[in-house]
Amino acid sequence: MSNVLAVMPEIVVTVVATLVLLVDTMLPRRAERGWLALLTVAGLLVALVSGPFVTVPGTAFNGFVQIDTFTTFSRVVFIVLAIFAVLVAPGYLARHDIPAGEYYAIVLFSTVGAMTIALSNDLITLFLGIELMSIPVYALAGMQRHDRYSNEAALKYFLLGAFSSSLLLYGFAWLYGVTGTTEFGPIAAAVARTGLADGPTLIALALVTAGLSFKAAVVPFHQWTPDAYDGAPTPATAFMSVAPKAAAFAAILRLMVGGLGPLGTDWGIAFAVLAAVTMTLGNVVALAQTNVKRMLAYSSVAHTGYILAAVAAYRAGDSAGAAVLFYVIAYGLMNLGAFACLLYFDIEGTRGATLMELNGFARQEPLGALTFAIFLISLTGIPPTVGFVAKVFVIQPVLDAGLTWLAVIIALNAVLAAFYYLRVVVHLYMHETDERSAPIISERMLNVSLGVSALAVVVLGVLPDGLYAWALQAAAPLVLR
Amino acid sequence: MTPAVPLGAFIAVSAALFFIGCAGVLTRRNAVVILMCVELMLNAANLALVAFSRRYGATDERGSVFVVFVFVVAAAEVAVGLAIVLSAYRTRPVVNVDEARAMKG
Repeated sequence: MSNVLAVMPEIVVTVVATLVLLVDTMLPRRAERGWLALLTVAGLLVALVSGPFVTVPGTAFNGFVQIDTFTTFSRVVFIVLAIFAVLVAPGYLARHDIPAGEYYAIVLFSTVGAMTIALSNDLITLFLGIELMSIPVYALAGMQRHDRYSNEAALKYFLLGAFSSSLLLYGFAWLYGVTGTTEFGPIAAAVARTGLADGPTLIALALVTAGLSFKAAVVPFHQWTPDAYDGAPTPATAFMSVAPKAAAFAAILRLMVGGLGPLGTDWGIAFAVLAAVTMTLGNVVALAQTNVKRMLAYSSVAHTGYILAAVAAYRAGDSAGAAVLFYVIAYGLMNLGAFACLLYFDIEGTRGATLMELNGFARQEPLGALTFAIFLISLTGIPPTVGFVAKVFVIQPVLDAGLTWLAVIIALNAVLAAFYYLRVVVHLYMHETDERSAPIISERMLNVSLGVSALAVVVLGVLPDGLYAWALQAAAPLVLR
Repeated sequence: MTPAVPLGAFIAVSAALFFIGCAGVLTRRNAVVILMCVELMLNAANLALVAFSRRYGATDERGSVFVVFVFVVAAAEVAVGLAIVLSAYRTRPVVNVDEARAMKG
């Protein structure tokens, strides 16, 4: 019984997902489905509340599952991101004839997978979580079935995702081969004894690193990212760009820091180099984009680099883990928000607005433009927004770990990024509406949810201490002492 | 009493399967063939897991348990994957992934 209680939030989300599917099939074909979003959100709120009430810290299912402060924290992150992603979607889904019930159910199933990653204490649970998180998202990218771009996005995302999963699984098999166990604690003990003495351990480490890098979109494993984000329906992109990335970093923290931490001297420097390459390439290519959706896709690659820099600084202890978790939340709010702001523009197909199509948006929709600007300023990393605080929290452990060169690269990249983010703000505010501007759609649910999250971005930017203290607590179980 | 096959033999076969699959994914251009190559890689991992599990049989059988879960995951992946290939084929009747290049940049 205590086993069941330990995974109560996951069970609740799964039940809500099946319920949404069931209700959806019983509704008449032409019925209004906007309230299905509210049902989904209500279910997610129940899961959010049920977490702290029924689950007790400790292991469950014979050591397959571990409930600790990291699990609790990550559950909240994934549920909040899912709620936000569901609330911005209904208008777009109705306009583009995307089956709403299936859409919400897929978001929920993917969220269960992400939550499973956060509670994994074993390679088996971790692999199941990663797959349960990814497979629904492949389908999500292809939800706009009659659109060529959406199909192409799903195909590319699926093929590279499946390939990376098999790399990861082969790495897990080798890891089991060299350590004789699949549980993270004993794996850490085994690799601490032997170190990186032999070839098989190196193979395992390389395969696992490559597999997880694919999932998190680290350069040079990022090629699927721009096409998958660009071609997917915009609300799906908003979800895809944040939740799977947050989940990938939960997996990296659990496995690389929690399980393979003793090999940190070997993967730490590799991650530092990958982080530097990732943020620089992401930003440089984003500079050249004129389509805002594609630009945001490359910018999300750059943000992966910042988060990875904090992982590479694992030696700094709790503050590195906390920086990862804090950045993941900050990134989740501002990036989901920025993609969702593209939902204001009524454009055929899945394409995002180009810079020209944004002209004069601030005149027609002042509040919408304000939220868009807040998200972009936060992505740039300008105070008083959460994006700025998150970068500071990343740079601190990077310096503590002695990676001064990486801190310099982060700072230079922030300057580079300012150029293309602020260019969008210029088009929003300083250009008049002309014949190129896209028609604009305003919906109450979109306005309210974007407003709330923009407010959260500013409030967390001014008062980050509470969240940061909680992130420090959440990072504590991962650090080897 | 069956003659014992050494662990190394299983691992060699598994590595060969993995590299064939990997090479297939990187060189073949047909989406369905790529999918088959991914399955080959998953099965390479399964074989390695079972072989290692037999070696650690006295202390840890989790490798065999892992394989059962991988079966389920692979089946789910194929179901979604073939649906995506089919849907892509409907909007544009080619399965060659080089043709899927409407997006660039």
